[in-house]
Amino acid sequence: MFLMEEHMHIQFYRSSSGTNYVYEFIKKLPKKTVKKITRQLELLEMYDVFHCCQAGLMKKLKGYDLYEITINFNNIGFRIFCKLKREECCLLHIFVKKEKKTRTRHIKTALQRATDWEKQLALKLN
Amino acid sequence: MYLKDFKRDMLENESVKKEYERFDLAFEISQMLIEARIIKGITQDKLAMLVGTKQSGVARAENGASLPSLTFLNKIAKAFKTRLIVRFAFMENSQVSITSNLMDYHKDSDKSIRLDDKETLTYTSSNNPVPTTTFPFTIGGKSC
Repeated sequence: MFLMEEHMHIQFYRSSSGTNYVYEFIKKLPKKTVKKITRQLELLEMYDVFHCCQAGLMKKLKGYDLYEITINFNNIGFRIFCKLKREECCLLHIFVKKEKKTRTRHIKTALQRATDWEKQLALKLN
Repeated sequence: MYLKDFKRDMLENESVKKEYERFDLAFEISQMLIEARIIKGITQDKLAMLVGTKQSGVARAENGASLPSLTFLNKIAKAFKTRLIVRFAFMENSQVSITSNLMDYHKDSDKSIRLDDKETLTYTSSNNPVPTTTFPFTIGGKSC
């Protein structure tokens, strides 16, 4: 498992058309939930992935190169799929968990956006 | 867009800013518990085992909707091998503060760390400095 010891830099994925999916989703939520999500993300940024994984706030998806951030508030379970590369953590897809097993379409969406983000990173480096 | 840009954008909305800056004791305590768990690197389930309760009890305390009792917080402090300190802000320099008894901590320390013969929890954190002796009850930059 790929684990980082440095602090993460959390960023939001922006598609080539300029849509910021996670940002748009959070923006529509009630303000208390926005506060909870922001504070939780700030906590994740303060500590490294290893500690967050051990505390169960974050976990690696089995079989995929993706991580899942768990945020529970007011009996609503939010899940954020993210991709880690060096000290960058890109939030790709957010959804409300309604079933025990995560639908593959959520994972597929996140994987699609992950490849696009990697392309954007490569372009930026070049 | 980085997290700080996201936060700045969100706080441009007056109602969100007001909610963000509002001091909610239950919420701040829940965040403190989550942070303590990250520092120590243990799951809700393991913490529940150390405290002697169910995982749902720890989850309820971390939910931020209800206020956990001081007795429960004291139990958690013991499980983390620290003390719980409660005091008013104007008494910061005062010698008087409600702290859990150190003797109690020493008495129960063997019991609280050792789960059973097979599994012994080890709190390892080489990179992050772990508070060893005190567990200040400081919430959102304000001491309580």
